[in-house]
Amino acid sequence: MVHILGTLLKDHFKVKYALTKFYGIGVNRSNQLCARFQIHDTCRVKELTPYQITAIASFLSSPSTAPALPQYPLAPPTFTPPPPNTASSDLLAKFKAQQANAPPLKMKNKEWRDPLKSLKVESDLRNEIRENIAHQRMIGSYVGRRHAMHLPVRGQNTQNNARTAKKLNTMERW
Amino acid sequence: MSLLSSNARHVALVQKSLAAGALRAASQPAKAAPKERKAAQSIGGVKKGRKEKWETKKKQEKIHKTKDIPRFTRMAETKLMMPKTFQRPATLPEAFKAGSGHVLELPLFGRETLVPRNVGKAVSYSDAPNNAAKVFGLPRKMFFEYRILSSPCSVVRDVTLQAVETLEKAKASSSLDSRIVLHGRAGCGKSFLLHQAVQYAQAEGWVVFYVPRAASLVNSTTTFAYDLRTQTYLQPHASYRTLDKLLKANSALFAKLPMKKALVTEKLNVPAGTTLADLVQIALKDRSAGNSAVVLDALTSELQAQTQFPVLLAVDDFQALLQDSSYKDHFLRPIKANHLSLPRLILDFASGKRTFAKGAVVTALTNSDTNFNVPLEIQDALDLPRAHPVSPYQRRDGDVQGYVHGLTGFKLPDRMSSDEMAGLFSVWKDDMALTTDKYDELFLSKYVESDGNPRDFVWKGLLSTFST
Repeated sequence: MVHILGTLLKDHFKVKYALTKFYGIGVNRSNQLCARFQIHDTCRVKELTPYQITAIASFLSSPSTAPALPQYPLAPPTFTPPPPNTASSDLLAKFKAQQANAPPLKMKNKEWRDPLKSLKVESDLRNEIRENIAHQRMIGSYVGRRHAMHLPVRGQNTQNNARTAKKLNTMERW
Repeated sequence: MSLLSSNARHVALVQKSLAAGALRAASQPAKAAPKERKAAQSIGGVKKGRKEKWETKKKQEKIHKTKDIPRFTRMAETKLMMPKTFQRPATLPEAFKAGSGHVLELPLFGRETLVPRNVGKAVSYSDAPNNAAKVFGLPRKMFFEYRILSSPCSVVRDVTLQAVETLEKAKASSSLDSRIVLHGRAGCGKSFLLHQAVQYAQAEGWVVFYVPRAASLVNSTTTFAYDLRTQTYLQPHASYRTLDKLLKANSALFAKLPMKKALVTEKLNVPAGTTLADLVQIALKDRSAGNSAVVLDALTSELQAQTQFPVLLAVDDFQALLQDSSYKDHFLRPIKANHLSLPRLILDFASGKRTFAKGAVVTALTNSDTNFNVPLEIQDALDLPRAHPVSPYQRRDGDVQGYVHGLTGFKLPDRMSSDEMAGLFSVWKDDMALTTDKYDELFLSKYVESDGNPRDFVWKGLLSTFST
């Protein structure tokens, strides 16, 4: 059992499904997160190392301030690796020098944008939703009025049904 | 649940449940009479204009009341115990009863039994704990078949003798000269032949490195982590398990092979002269598999250099290593199989970039895996028959083309000969798997229906037939 940002992730869950328990993370975001932290498809929560758990927790607490992703060089078929006793600090220094000069990654002739940079979860997302509703009210729009009256916002019929809207459409949503 | 449950056991179970039921009835007090259901009531009268609707509703309720749920009664005890027919009672032969110890008795697979006069006869494998099949596992479909058979066995074929001949020639030469890919149509016996080659090599004292399901290395089921030194993604837990299996299958041979070169890393310092068995034990002590990949690499380098024992690297599902894996990198792009440590190790040997001083690399393609189809590059290299027309404009990966260059294709015949098929038939007949005693009719009809394809003959023919 792991608690991350107040959400409990049960041990026997696969990580890619356990991450969907966060408010604001669905299947696609979860796959992107697993790829980011090199978590394989069938990894269970109990198999995660403490380093990985800390990495996920620190990322989700503020996704926008996460460091840029490194572009790892991949060995061509003719590559001969240096001997195993090579110091990792030397390799790291060489890699960092290479990264500093590397151009930004391009995919399909466009600069790659991290889809997780704009990720919001839990309380941040709830606040954003509340702010959006408050903004609509402030500018006096139709949408704002409908929220205030606890009625459907998107042009649904109200002669019958509209039960969900009457229950959930409020100004203080979340 | 056993397929071969005895009638006696069934009867005993039924009697037990009846006895339990009787006990339960005796312990419970008699049930009180059921309460009378209240009729539907309208409080405050019915709305204007809805009286008729209300009347029909009340009538429907009365109908529902009379349609009682049927009461199920227990079947009479004597009826339960009766067999289905009197002519052929539903009792099983002695061989099927639990504890009968029925097992196929066949000659053991080895040099003495792999002779031309034994083509078409079945041979069984040794039950030793270090048997390659027990240690490394088996391909899925072979595993299902061996689960049903009372003892693992296979038929000696022409191609088996050819494989034995090839391995004998490869024994004294470098693996660069013996890089073989078994191919043929689905179900023609490629995995079985590869398994036979592995068993032969192990019986002859080779070091065997068998990968029965290479697809499990690339389908994103084990941990992976990027390594700056090798510039590939290491697979720590897969390497750990591979080391464990290699040690179990070849422990006697590894104990006789000393390391020629010391292994020095930041965490390890293994001096030269340490046996390979001890080297593997050092890696296996670390349960977090931190050193496994580098130790596996060192082990294979030592096996390359040594000339005491020939080495066989046998890989099934080889086509899975020649395309994108199911792993994804940071940017959600698929990682190519040749950028993962274990597939890369296998590909280096298959392509001849690394060679065993003495030994062979034998691989087999799988046509039945829809997740990992046979890629274009190997279709071109081996001139495989195509299901659809292929355009020269379809993209081929240059790296993969390099890896498949120089591989020798060995095509298995589409059809088993009638002698070989008869041998296969007799295995299932002797193992009491057939539902009829009209053997000639069954054999010929299924041989023709399956077009000589061994898998179809067994699974769609013998095991799926309704004939009695």
